[in-house]
Amino acid sequence: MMMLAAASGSTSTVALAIAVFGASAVEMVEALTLVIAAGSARSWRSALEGTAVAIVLLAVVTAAVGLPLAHYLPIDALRAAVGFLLLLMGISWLRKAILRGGGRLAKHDEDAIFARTVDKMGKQAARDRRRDPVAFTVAFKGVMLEGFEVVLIVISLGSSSGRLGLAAAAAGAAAVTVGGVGVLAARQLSEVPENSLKTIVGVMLTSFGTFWIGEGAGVRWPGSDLALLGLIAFFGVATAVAVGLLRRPVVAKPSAEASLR
Amino acid sequence: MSSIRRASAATAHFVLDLLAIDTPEVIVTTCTVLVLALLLHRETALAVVVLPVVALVGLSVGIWRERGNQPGA
Repeated sequence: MMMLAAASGSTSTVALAIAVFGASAVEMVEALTLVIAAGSARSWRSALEGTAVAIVLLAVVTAAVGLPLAHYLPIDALRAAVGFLLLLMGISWLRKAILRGGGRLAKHDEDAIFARTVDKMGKQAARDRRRDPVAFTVAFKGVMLEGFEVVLIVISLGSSSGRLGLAAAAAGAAAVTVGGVGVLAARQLSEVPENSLKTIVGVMLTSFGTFWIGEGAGVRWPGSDLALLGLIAFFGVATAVAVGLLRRPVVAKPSAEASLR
Repeated sequence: MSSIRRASAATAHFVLDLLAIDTPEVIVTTCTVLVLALLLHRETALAVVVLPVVALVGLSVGIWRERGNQPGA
């Protein structure tokens, strides 16, 4: 019984770390693309300032909202709310990842986003080359929006499982990894297998969301946290089947008129 | 008044962007899973089957609606 509980605990710990790391990495790649575009096209100084201001603001929001939420909200209500948010995000991510995997939606192309952002910024003349408000705004908005998603995932998954430190560490590891890739490869962020990451994270967020909604409502999952593995397998298999079905070539049916000829 | 409306629209847009919600069935599915979890919390055997299946059905509806898309077409 104790071994089952230990296995269940370590399973959910690993699943949580993978989910937070993957989701954070995907969001950070998107933010980094915009920062590099703003820096190289306009002004590195302003792009980095915009990034720094957004990170400080995110830290303040996390401390002001996230930590009290985790401490003062009843755990079941918190789990149901967190499950709700995770399922919303998970289904959206998974749908897009499946459509992209099946070739029904254009892949998220960081090179194209980079080129589009540089082109858009290039058309607006900089008034002051030393401090460039356009570069600042683009970097700030990119880091703020993508960073909010990371904060949401870290707080949701971390607080509902009582492992906020682990979730923050996994997000930190993603920041170091993506930052390292950014520094080394600068414009090669399109090399990051974003759709595969998004598919795995989508499966995990959907599984965590379903699990926490159930837990929050009072459902006792068989095997406790081990049920997460079952949910991940269920949504994983469904995703593989859906991608396989979408990849099958569409055979055009002959119209009634054509078959009469 | 119009500035309040603009601010509300911008806030709603920001929240939807943040949660990556761009289709109504995502909200409908999630609400349905939550309501079913609350209704079935005493029927564990039923709940553990129904909740993932409902989530999967909601996901499939979104995929089914967009299955005809051809990128670049």
